[in-house]
Amino acid sequence: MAKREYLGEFEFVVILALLHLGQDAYGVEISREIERRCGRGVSLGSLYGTLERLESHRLVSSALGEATPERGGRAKRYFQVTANGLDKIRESQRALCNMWDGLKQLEVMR
Amino acid sequence: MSALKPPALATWLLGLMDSDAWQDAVAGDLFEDYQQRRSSTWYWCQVLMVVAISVGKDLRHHSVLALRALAVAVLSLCLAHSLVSELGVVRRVMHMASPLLGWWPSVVIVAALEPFLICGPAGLAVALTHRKRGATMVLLYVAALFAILACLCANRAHWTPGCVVFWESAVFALAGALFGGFLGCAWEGFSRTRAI
Repeated sequence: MAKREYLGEFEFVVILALLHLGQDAYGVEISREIERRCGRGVSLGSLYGTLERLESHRLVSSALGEATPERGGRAKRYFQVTANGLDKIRESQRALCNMWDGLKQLEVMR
Repeated sequence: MSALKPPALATWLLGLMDSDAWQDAVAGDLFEDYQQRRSSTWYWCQVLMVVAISVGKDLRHHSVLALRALAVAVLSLCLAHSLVSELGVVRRVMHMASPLLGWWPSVVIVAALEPFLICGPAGLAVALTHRKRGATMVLLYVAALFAILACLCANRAHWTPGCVVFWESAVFALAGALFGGFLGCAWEGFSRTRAI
Protein backbone atom coordinates (compact mmCIF):
# COMPACT_ATOMS: atom_id res chain seq x y z
CA MET A 1 0.00 0.00 0.00
CA ALA A 2 1.36 3.47 -0.89
CA LYS A 3 2.36 5.68 2.04
CA ARG A 4 -0.12 8.48 2.64
CA GLU A 5 1.46 11.82 1.65
CA TYR A 6 -1.32 14.27 2.41
CA LEU A 7 -2.71 15.60 5.70
CA GLY A 8 -6.13 14.49 6.87
CA GLU A 9 -8.67 17.14 7.89
CA PHE A 10 -8.20 16.59 11.63
CA GLU A 11 -4.40 16.53 11.29
CA PHE A 12 -4.67 19.86 9.46
CA VAL A 13 -6.80 21.31 12.28
CA VAL A 14 -4.43 20.03 14.98
CA ILE A 15 -1.33 21.52 13.32
CA LEU A 16 -3.09 24.88 12.90
CA ALA A 17 -4.12 24.81 16.57
CA LEU A 18 -0.47 24.15 17.53
CA LEU A 19 0.62 27.14 15.46
CA HIS A 20 -2.01 29.37 17.12
CA LEU A 21 -0.97 28.29 20.62
CA GLY A 22 2.79 28.58 20.11
CA GLN A 23 4.71 27.66 23.27
CA ASP A 24 1.62 26.78 25.30
CA ALA A 25 0.43 23.83 23.21
CA TYR A 26 -0.41 20.82 25.36
CA GLY A 27 -3.37 18.40 25.34
CA VAL A 28 -6.04 20.40 27.22
CA GLU A 29 -5.14 23.73 25.58
CA ILE A 30 -5.08 22.19 22.08
CA SER A 31 -8.53 20.62 22.54
CA ARG A 32 -9.91 23.95 23.91
CA GLU A 33 -8.37 25.89 21.01
CA ILE A 34 -10.01 23.55 18.49
CA GLU A 35 -13.32 23.82 20.35
CA ARG A 36 -13.06 27.62 20.43
CA ARG A 37 -12.16 28.06 16.76
CA CYS A 38 -14.02 25.17 15.09
CA GLY A 39 -16.91 24.81 17.54
CA ARG A 40 -16.40 21.07 17.79
CA GLY A 41 -15.57 19.02 20.86
CA VAL A 42 -12.46 16.88 20.65
CA SER A 43 -11.78 13.78 22.73
CA LEU A 44 -8.31 13.67 24.22
CA GLY A 45 -7.92 10.08 23.01
CA SER A 46 -8.34 11.00 19.34
CA LEU A 47 -6.25 14.16 19.82
CA TYR A 48 -3.33 12.19 21.26
CA GLY A 49 -3.75 9.48 18.61
CA THR A 50 -3.36 12.18 15.94
CA LEU A 51 -0.45 13.89 17.71
CA GLU A 52 1.36 10.57 18.08
CA ARG A 53 0.90 9.87 14.35
CA LEU A 54 2.11 13.37 13.42
CA GLU A 55 5.14 12.92 15.66
CA SER A 56 5.96 9.56 14.07
CA HIS A 57 5.92 11.34 10.67
CA ARG A 58 8.20 14.05 12.15
CA LEU A 59 5.67 16.82 11.49
CA VAL A 60 5.39 17.59 15.20
CA SER A 61 7.85 17.29 18.09
CA SER A 62 7.09 17.03 21.79
CA ALA A 63 8.82 17.62 25.12
CA LEU A 64 7.81 16.85 28.69
CA GLY A 65 7.04 19.85 30.87
CA GLU A 66 6.60 20.28 34.59
CA ALA A 67 4.35 18.19 36.84
CA THR A 68 1.80 20.31 38.71
CA PRO A 69 -0.66 19.54 41.54
CA GLU A 70 -3.67 20.62 39.42
CA ARG A 71 -2.78 17.76 37.09
CA GLY A 72 -2.55 15.21 39.89
CA GLY A 73 1.26 15.45 39.86
CA ARG A 74 1.57 14.47 36.20
CA ALA A 75 3.73 16.22 33.64
CA LYS A 76 2.45 18.17 30.63
CA ARG A 77 3.61 17.21 27.14
CA TYR A 78 4.19 20.29 25.00
CA PHE A 79 3.97 20.05 21.22
CA GLN A 80 5.59 22.11 18.48
CA VAL A 81 5.30 22.05 14.72
CA THR A 82 8.60 21.08 13.05
CA ALA A 83 10.04 22.59 9.85
CA ASN A 84 8.73 19.50 8.01
CA GLY A 85 5.30 20.14 9.50
CA LEU A 86 5.36 23.78 8.34
CA ASP A 87 6.30 22.69 4.80
CA LYS A 88 3.50 20.14 4.80
CA ILE A 89 0.88 22.63 6.03
CA ARG A 90 1.96 25.20 3.41
CA GLU A 91 1.70 22.52 0.73
CA SER A 92 -1.79 21.60 1.93
CA GLN A 93 -2.79 25.29 2.05
CA ARG A 94 -1.64 25.77 -1.57
CA ALA A 95 -3.53 22.68 -2.69
CA LEU A 96 -6.71 23.78 -0.90
CA CYS A 97 -6.45 27.35 -2.27
CA ASN A 98 -6.05 25.96 -5.78
CA MET A 99 -9.19 23.91 -5.29
CA TRP A 100 -11.02 26.91 -3.85
CA ASP A 101 -10.09 29.37 -6.62
CA GLY A 102 -12.77 30.18 -9.16
CA LEU A 103 -15.65 28.66 -7.20
CA LYS A 104 -18.31 31.36 -7.47
CA GLN A 105 -20.75 29.50 -5.21
CA LEU A 106 -18.32 29.86 -2.28
CA GLU A 107 -17.27 33.47 -2.78
CA VAL A 108 -19.74 34.86 -0.21
CA MET A 109 -18.33 32.54 2.47
CA ARG A 110 -14.73 33.69 1.95
CA MET B 1 -9.35 24.40 47.13
CA SER B 2 -8.34 20.74 46.96
CA ALA B 3 -8.44 18.95 43.61
CA LEU B 4 -11.53 16.89 42.83
CA LYS B 5 -10.67 13.22 42.40
CA PRO B 6 -11.90 11.63 39.16
CA PRO B 7 -13.50 8.14 39.25
CA ALA B 8 -10.79 5.85 40.64
CA LEU B 9 -11.76 2.79 38.57
CA ALA B 10 -11.51 4.75 35.31
CA THR B 11 -8.11 6.16 36.33
CA TRP B 12 -6.93 2.65 37.22
CA LEU B 13 -8.11 1.35 33.84
CA LEU B 14 -6.23 4.18 32.12
CA GLY B 15 -3.08 3.34 34.08
CA LEU B 16 -3.25 -0.28 32.91
CA MET B 17 -3.00 0.57 29.25
CA ASP B 18 0.59 1.67 28.95
CA SER B 19 3.30 3.03 31.20
CA ASP B 20 5.03 5.44 28.84
CA ALA B 21 5.13 9.22 29.17
CA TRP B 22 2.35 9.71 26.60
CA GLN B 23 -0.13 7.93 28.82
CA ASP B 24 1.02 9.99 31.79
CA ALA B 25 0.38 13.20 29.82
CA VAL B 26 -3.09 11.96 28.79
CA ALA B 27 -3.91 11.08 32.42
CA GLY B 28 -2.71 14.55 33.53
CA ASP B 29 -4.78 16.29 30.84
CA LEU B 30 -7.88 14.32 31.80
CA PHE B 31 -7.31 15.15 35.48
CA GLU B 32 -6.90 18.87 34.67
CA ASP B 33 -9.96 19.02 32.42
CA TYR B 34 -12.02 17.05 34.97
CA GLN B 35 -11.47 19.84 37.55
CA GLN B 36 -13.52 22.15 35.31
CA ARG B 37 -16.09 19.79 33.83
CA ARG B 38 -16.71 17.76 37.03
CA SER B 39 -18.63 15.09 35.16
CA SER B 40 -17.89 11.44 35.85
CA THR B 41 -19.72 10.44 32.66
CA TRP B 42 -17.47 12.74 30.59
CA TYR B 43 -14.39 11.31 32.34
CA TRP B 44 -15.48 7.71 31.72
CA CYS B 45 -16.22 8.45 28.04
CA GLN B 46 -12.80 10.03 27.59
CA VAL B 47 -11.04 7.12 29.33
CA LEU B 48 -12.93 4.55 27.25
CA MET B 49 -12.01 6.46 24.09
CA VAL B 50 -8.33 6.54 25.10
CA VAL B 51 -8.46 2.80 25.90
CA ALA B 52 -10.17 1.98 22.58
CA ILE B 53 -7.61 4.00 20.58
CA SER B 54 -4.71 2.54 22.55
CA VAL B 55 -6.00 -1.04 22.05
CA GLY B 56 -6.49 -0.40 18.31
CA LYS B 57 -2.96 0.99 18.01
CA ASP B 58 -1.44 -1.92 19.96
CA LEU B 59 -3.27 -4.52 17.87
CA ARG B 60 -2.17 -2.83 14.63
CA HIS B 61 1.47 -2.69 15.71
CA HIS B 62 1.63 -6.06 17.51
CA SER B 63 -0.49 -8.44 15.46
CA VAL B 64 1.79 -11.41 16.21
CA LEU B 65 1.43 -10.75 19.95
CA ALA B 66 -2.35 -10.64 19.47
CA LEU B 67 -2.32 -14.07 17.80
CA ARG B 68 -0.09 -15.39 20.58
CA ALA B 69 -2.51 -14.00 23.19
CA LEU B 70 -5.42 -15.83 21.53
CA ALA B 71 -3.37 -19.05 21.40
CA VAL B 72 -2.49 -18.70 25.11
CA ALA B 73 -6.17 -18.10 25.88
CA VAL B 74 -7.31 -21.21 23.97
CA LEU B 75 -4.64 -23.41 25.60
CA SER B 76 -5.44 -22.05 29.07
CA LEU B 77 -9.18 -22.55 28.50
CA CYS B 78 -8.58 -26.20 27.52
CA LEU B 79 -6.28 -26.76 30.50
CA ALA B 80 -8.65 -25.08 32.97
CA HIS B 81 -11.61 -27.02 31.54
CA SER B 82 -9.78 -30.35 31.97
CA LEU B 83 -8.68 -29.43 35.50
CA VAL B 84 -12.16 -28.33 36.59
CA SER B 85 -13.68 -31.53 35.15
CA GLU B 86 -10.90 -33.76 36.50
CA LEU B 87 -10.91 -32.36 40.03
CA GLY B 88 -14.71 -32.41 40.08
CA VAL B 89 -14.86 -29.07 41.94
CA VAL B 90 -18.19 -28.15 40.43
CA ARG B 91 -19.70 -31.59 41.01
CA ARG B 92 -18.67 -31.36 44.68
CA VAL B 93 -20.22 -27.89 45.07
CA MET B 94 -23.41 -29.16 43.47
CA HIS B 95 -23.40 -32.19 45.75
CA MET B 96 -22.94 -30.00 48.85
CA ALA B 97 -25.38 -27.30 47.82
CA SER B 98 -28.33 -29.36 46.59
CA PRO B 99 -29.48 -30.72 50.00
CA LEU B 100 -29.27 -27.22 51.49
CA LEU B 101 -30.64 -25.09 48.65
CA GLY B 102 -32.52 -27.53 46.48
CA TRP B 103 -31.76 -28.78 43.00
CA TRP B 104 -32.61 -25.65 40.94
CA PRO B 105 -30.56 -23.07 42.97
CA SER B 106 -27.58 -25.41 42.97
CA VAL B 107 -27.79 -25.68 39.17
CA VAL B 108 -27.78 -21.87 39.02
CA ILE B 109 -24.70 -21.70 41.28
CA VAL B 110 -22.86 -24.33 39.24
CA ALA B 111 -23.76 -22.59 35.97
CA ALA B 112 -22.08 -19.47 37.32
CA LEU B 113 -19.11 -21.12 39.02
CA GLU B 114 -17.91 -23.44 36.26
CA PRO B 115 -17.45 -20.86 33.45
CA PHE B 116 -15.97 -18.39 35.96
CA LEU B 117 -13.38 -20.98 37.04
CA ILE B 118 -12.53 -21.87 33.44
CA CYS B 119 -12.38 -18.40 31.87
CA GLY B 120 -10.77 -16.60 34.84
CA PRO B 121 -7.43 -18.45 34.79
CA ALA B 122 -7.22 -18.02 31.01
CA GLY B 123 -7.53 -14.23 31.45
CA LEU B 124 -4.86 -14.37 34.16
CA ALA B 125 -2.55 -16.36 31.87
CA VAL B 126 -3.03 -13.90 29.00
CA ALA B 127 -2.25 -10.92 31.27
CA LEU B 128 0.82 -12.52 32.85
CA THR B 129 2.32 -13.69 29.55
CA HIS B 130 1.98 -10.30 27.86
CA ARG B 131 3.25 -7.97 30.60
CA LYS B 132 3.31 -4.41 29.15
CA ARG B 133 0.60 -5.19 26.57
CA GLY B 134 -1.36 -7.31 29.09
CA ALA B 135 -4.42 -5.07 29.30
CA THR B 136 -4.74 -4.86 25.51
CA MET B 137 -4.45 -8.63 25.12
CA VAL B 138 -6.94 -9.25 27.95
CA LEU B 139 -9.45 -6.96 26.22
CA LEU B 140 -8.82 -8.81 22.95
CA TYR B 141 -9.44 -12.15 24.70
CA VAL B 142 -12.64 -10.83 26.33
CA ALA B 143 -13.82 -9.42 22.98
CA ALA B 144 -13.18 -12.76 21.23
CA LEU B 145 -14.97 -14.63 24.03
CA PHE B 146 -17.87 -12.16 23.85
CA ALA B 147 -18.16 -12.65 20.07
CA ILE B 148 -18.25 -16.45 20.44
CA LEU B 149 -20.75 -16.34 23.33
CA ALA B 150 -22.94 -13.79 21.52
CA CYS B 151 -23.14 -16.14 18.50
CA LEU B 152 -24.04 -19.07 20.75
CA CYS B 153 -26.59 -17.01 22.74
CA ALA B 154 -28.21 -15.70 19.55
CA ASN B 155 -29.12 -19.29 18.68
CA ARG B 156 -30.73 -19.78 22.08
CA ALA B 157 -32.87 -16.66 22.34
CA HIS B 158 -35.81 -18.30 24.15
CA TRP B 159 -37.11 -17.85 27.68
CA THR B 160 -36.71 -21.54 28.58
CA PRO B 161 -34.89 -22.46 31.82
CA GLY B 162 -32.10 -24.11 29.82
CA CYS B 163 -31.46 -20.91 27.86
CA VAL B 164 -31.53 -18.73 30.95
CA VAL B 165 -28.91 -20.97 32.56
CA PHE B 166 -26.85 -20.79 29.37
CA TRP B 167 -26.98 -16.95 29.36
CA GLU B 168 -26.02 -16.95 33.02
CA SER B 169 -23.00 -19.12 32.18
CA ALA B 170 -22.05 -16.72 29.35
CA VAL B 171 -22.25 -13.68 31.65
CA PHE B 172 -20.14 -15.38 34.32
CA ALA B 173 -17.64 -16.57 31.68
CA LEU B 174 -17.12 -12.93 30.63
CA ALA B 175 -16.99 -11.76 34.24
CA GLY B 176 -14.39 -14.45 35.01
CA ALA B 177 -12.31 -13.50 31.97
CA LEU B 178 -12.35 -9.82 32.97
CA PHE B 179 -11.68 -10.57 36.63
CA GLY B 180 -8.79 -12.95 35.90
CA GLY B 181 -7.34 -10.66 33.24
CA PHE B 182 -7.41 -7.50 35.29
CA LEU B 183 -6.15 -9.35 38.35
CA GLY B 184 -3.14 -10.35 36.24
CA CYS B 185 -2.70 -6.76 35.00
CA ALA B 186 -2.92 -5.42 38.55
CA TRP B 187 -0.35 -7.99 39.68
CA GLU B 188 1.97 -7.00 36.81
CA GLY B 189 1.55 -3.31 37.67
CA PHE B 190 2.26 -4.04 41.33
CA SER B 191 5.45 -6.04 40.56
CA ARG B 192 6.63 -3.33 38.13
CA THR B 193 6.13 -0.63 40.80
CA ARG B 194 7.94 -2.76 43.38
CA ALA B 195 10.86 -3.30 40.97
CA ILE B 196 11.21 0.49 40.47
